[in-house]
Amino acid sequence: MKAKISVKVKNAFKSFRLTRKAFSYPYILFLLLFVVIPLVLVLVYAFLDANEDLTFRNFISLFTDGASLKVLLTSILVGIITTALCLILGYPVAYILSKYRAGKILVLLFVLPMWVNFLIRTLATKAIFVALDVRLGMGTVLFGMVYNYLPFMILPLYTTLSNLDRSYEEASMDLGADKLTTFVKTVLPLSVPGIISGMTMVFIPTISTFAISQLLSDYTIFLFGDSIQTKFSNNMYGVGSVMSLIMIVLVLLSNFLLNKFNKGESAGRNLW
Amino acid sequence: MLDSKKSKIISLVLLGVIVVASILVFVIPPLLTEKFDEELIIYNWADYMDLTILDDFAEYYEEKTGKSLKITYTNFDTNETMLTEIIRGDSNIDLICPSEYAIEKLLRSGVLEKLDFSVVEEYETLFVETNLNKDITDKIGTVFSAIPTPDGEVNMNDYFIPYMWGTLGILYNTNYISEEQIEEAGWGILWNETNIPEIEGKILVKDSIRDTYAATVLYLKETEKLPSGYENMNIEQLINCTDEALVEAAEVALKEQKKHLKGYEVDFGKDDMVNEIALVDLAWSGDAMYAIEEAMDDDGNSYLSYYVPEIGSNIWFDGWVMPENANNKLAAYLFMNYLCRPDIAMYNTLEIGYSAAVDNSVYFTEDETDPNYEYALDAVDAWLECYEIETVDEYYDEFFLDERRYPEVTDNLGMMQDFGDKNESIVEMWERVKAHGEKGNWTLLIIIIAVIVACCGIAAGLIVWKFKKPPKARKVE
Repeated sequence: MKAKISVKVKNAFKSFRLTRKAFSYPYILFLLLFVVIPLVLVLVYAFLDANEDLTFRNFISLFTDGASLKVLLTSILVGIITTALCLILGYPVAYILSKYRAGKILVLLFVLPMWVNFLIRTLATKAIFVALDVRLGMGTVLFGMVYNYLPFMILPLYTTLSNLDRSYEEASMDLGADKLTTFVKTVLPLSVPGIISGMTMVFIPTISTFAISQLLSDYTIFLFGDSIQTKFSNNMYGVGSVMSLIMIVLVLLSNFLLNKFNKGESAGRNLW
Repeated sequence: MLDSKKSKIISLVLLGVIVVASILVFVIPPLLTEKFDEELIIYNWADYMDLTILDDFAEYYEEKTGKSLKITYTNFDTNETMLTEIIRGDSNIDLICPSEYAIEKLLRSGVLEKLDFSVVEEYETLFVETNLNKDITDKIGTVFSAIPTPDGEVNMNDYFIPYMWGTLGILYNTNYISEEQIEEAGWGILWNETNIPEIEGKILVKDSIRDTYAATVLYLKETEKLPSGYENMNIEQLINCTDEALVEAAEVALKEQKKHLKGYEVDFGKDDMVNEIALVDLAWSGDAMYAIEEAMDDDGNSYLSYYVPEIGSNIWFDGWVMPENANNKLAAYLFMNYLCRPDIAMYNTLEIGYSAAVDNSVYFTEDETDPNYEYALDAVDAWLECYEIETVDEYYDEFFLDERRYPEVTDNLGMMQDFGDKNESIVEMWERVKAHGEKGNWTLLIIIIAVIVACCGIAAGLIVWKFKKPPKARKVE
């Protein structure tokens, strides 16, 4: 009797053809609706004027407008400075943490603030600056950016560094290198994949942020993200779409460049 | 590694969870909600109505028409969000409360219904006809008399009912700025024209190009910096003028202003003023009154005050319009009429701090045959209770004759129309202003970088120092 039932159940299972693939359909649908279609719309709007006629005026007006280009340049500069600061601050931390067994728990402490909504975090940062009577401006914006994106730098670095095979270091030392040479010649090159993914994780979001720059500068620092937002909220969809396209191109470009740089460096596993 | 049977069980369980969840989400809620005969969809600014009147209106509607009404109340945060939704989408909304220029835009795109309150007469007295402030409706009737729509030129008054109104002015901290000082400076206070050291870097301006532009051209007029040919324009012509020369002059002035500012604000201006983080703010009268009351001590003295410069200002209003495709026109008409009832208008005024566009005399009608009479008594009671006073006389002058709350509609107060085709060039000008200079706190940045470099230096030094001692155990002989 028991055996019969189990056979029946087995058969029922066999005829049921729900493959694992089926579970990706909802996400594919989501992707189509909320990522692919909006991107196509952005592309279409970039070539339409206010009366929805085909035009290139949006591109021309953007590239001949000195102010927009200046804003773009400032944003890229802010992105580079933020990334550099994050790397300078994050690398020693990740390196030291990877040396300790308790590193995992300590990393958790670094990630902990990320669980607080970033808007709340930024507003709290602003409140601290106001209480300390620090004048809000570029300095505070950069502080906010570094504070917000530092974990994105530390995490990939930590993963790469803690997965490094220690025998490389030992080998280097066995061959007579001192600790500094060992670090420069083995650890640093081997952690390049982590540095690259950390830089991508930080640079790309920073060039497009607008909330942090608005809140931490009382709207006096105007970045590319702010500019796009202004365009859309004033019904200037055409120019706004062109700017979004530029943003996408920038993201793809930096991704491509960083990956190119990363080629051949498959030693470290990388979390992201 | 999972065997295929196990993974199938997991798949089935997951599928079951998805099915159950979707049943919970899509099937159950409609079964639980109450059934209503009709629905009224209202689209308003956030915090712009005493929400208790919505339930009252549903009851009132059932009493008048015998049908139960479900009111769906939704909010927008900027006129532009609302415009996009109404003009580009095909949402079914019965009533919207946009600002003057947004009403103009809606009219231009031909989506509004011409209002005809004759359907209301069957159910209720027409408060809309008698109670509105004539000064305002007259002025609107002249300024917005000929708006081009797809069906020819129309007068805005035929398409909307004014709701709230007020002026644009300066909210300032009386602990740092005396009345004489602000009268001397006028709009110039936003440029710290009179060089008051305490307020330098503590001035806020709205991150709203229309309001800031109006303040700027008025400042130019006040300081006689207008480009030649514009000196003789009156206030209304000036704030509606978008000629290149004037926009350029405004751009120069706004860039010049930036170094005196704390920043641009969207909605935190009131709080920053109350907390004395900022000392001067370009504000709308309603927000200003709200902040002043917030900053009031027990004796009724406030350290904040509101001032509309002598030279003139902008008078703004928001009003109710009905899209052509509204589903429940009767309820919409009754609701607009209901908002003009003295008690309802007073509840809204008390709740949000702005001044309802209802004539103040209707609150104090003494004619018992007037349909307003009973409601007016309720309104006055609510007002007395709100300010904890016993008699009307005690506070009448301070409230109803307060120029800040109910300004006299003179030629010095101009109404601002939509910028129309010029909108784009003005937005671009505003962006140039905001991108100008990058008044950054570079000193702080340099300190941060210096600290970081120092830390790294120390760390590197330590590492080098420690690593120089070669590890003994691994020494190879």
